[in-house]
Amino acid sequence: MPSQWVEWSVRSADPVQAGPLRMTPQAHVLRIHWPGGGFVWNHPAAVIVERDGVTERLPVIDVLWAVRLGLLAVLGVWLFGLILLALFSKRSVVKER
Amino acid sequence: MSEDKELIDEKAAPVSAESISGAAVHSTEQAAAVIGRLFDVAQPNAIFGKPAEFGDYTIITASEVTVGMGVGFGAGGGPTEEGDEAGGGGGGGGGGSLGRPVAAIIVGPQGVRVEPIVDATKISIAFFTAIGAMFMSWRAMRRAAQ
Repeated sequence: MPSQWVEWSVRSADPVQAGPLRMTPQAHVLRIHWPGGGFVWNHPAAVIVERDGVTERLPVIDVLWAVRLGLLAVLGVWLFGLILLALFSKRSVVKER
Repeated sequence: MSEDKELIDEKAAPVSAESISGAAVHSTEQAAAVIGRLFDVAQPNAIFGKPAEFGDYTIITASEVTVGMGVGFGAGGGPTEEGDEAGGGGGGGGGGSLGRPVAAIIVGPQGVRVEPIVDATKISIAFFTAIGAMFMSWRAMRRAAQ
């Protein structure tokens, strides 16, 4: 059992040798535990590629999460605009009175 | 449940698979052992598949895994009308897991590239959900203005 209640880390998986290349996958790990339960979220982060002494980091892009974040941002801007519109409408009604 | 049992067998866990899947947990120690296995299973190696070779290409799949579990026990007691002591107890628990492919790591003669896996269905669901939320909020504001 982990000692911390909440743990956020980047962990490396076992390296894989493919010809002259050596790849080490990395993952984001979020672990939350409490007495009687726990939650783990494991998401691929990047791949470290080593070849001829040169190391390169290739990030893993999650298209679905990128789309969701983009849509959340659009939704946030939309709601903010609606609130502003409502506030300005109220002010114009008050001025007319 | 059977998939969880196979995964646990592969990891050669000290706790037997039968005590985890399909059987009752009788004590907090057993519950703690099950929860401990939860954290053992969710390791970085669990989300990257075994390399698969196809000619000059090697492919490794990368997935997102989410696992959650909770258990609870309770007990109580008190005197009865006859003056005897009576008591009872119980417990329960639940859990769930999600897995989703995120990308494929392809090693070939040209080098290494990471190909994202695009799930058109989920993207469409997210898009239409956002459109619906925008429409509902706009309609609610119009009704409030009227």
